[in-house]
Amino acid sequence: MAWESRSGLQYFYRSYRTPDGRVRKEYFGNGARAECAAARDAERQREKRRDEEAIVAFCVEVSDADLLLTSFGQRCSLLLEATLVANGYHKHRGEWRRRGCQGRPKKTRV
Amino acid sequence: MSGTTKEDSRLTEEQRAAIARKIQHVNQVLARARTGDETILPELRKLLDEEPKLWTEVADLAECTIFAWAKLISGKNLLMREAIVRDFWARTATLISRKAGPMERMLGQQVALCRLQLLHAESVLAQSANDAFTKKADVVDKRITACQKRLSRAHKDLLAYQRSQGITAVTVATKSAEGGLDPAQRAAADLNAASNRSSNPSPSPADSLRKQKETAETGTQTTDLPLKPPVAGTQGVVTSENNLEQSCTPNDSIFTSRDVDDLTTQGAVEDAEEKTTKRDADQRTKQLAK
Repeated sequence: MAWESRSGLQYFYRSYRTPDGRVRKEYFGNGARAECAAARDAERQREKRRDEEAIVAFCVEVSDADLLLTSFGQRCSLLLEATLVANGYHKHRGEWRRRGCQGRPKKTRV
Repeated sequence: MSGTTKEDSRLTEEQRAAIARKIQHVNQVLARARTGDETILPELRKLLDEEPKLWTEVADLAECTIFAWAKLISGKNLLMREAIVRDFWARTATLISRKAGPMERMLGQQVALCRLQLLHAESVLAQSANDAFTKKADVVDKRITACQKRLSRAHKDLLAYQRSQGITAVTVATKSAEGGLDPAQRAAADLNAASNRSSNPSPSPADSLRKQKETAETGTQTTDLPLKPPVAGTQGVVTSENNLEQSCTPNDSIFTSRDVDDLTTQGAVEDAEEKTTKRDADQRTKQLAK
């Protein structure tokens, strides 16, 4: 998306990638159509930048709390594992089972 | 936990370093336990029993985390911040048993924190729907999925621990929407339930269900427990671990494991429903005859 110089005049081209991977350029000339397309593209780019900034701001905003929660979760997992292992449990395909206990434990169903 | 101030639970840097070393040691012991080395078990038990500061540190971390989330969600609104913190403690209390140890309390806090994280992500998504940030909405959407997974995992951990300790977490919607029972009311409910049990040792599940249905339909309370009547539209009985998330609202009360045992078989539930339907039909016939 750029204005390109051709024999001393500015012409607007919009480049895009086709599904087969090739880059194509669309010609808009240097008149009102070109101005309009350039304005539209600039607006789109601003929106994109704003969007990215919003994402970064959101990530920064939640990063502290997220970090604390992750750390707390890790401690919880570690201590849970330690406690259950100490009580004679082991992990079988993501499920805690008591040693010597076959099959899934019965679930209460109401 | 809620009674202690934040300053009380603060640890010095030295203590933190010592705890970090201890946790590393636990990690090493667990790594050996994972390989099937059962000789490590006595050492592991000793480590957990003799290190109360491990739990203190985690409790401290939980407190920091809840304050961080409350601050993040409420912003400058201090009232909301306080409400979030109180709601967090109330929610944790509904998830764990009454005589919960540090481990169960910690896992309950983890569930409540994960839920808070999910709610925050959902509120951000709702806000970004009003904005024109489409990519942000996508990012938040992915975050919600991750939060849901984390919440589910936290629930599973809590249930695994409760199962290992013989605690059955069952919640029954038997109270009004105004709020949960306070400790005094809960103690009174316990006493009343205990006295009822001694006079009538095994109340059938069908009776319990019938009473709940009657209460839901007529608005009059026939239950033996001194609990407030349920609100129309609230769930009756929920025990499955899949829908525990839906069931664990602060308005629900935790029943004792004995009450749970009474409500175990699917057949009994069906019987209860059948009886209720039959009784309703009889009542209608009588009314028509009149």
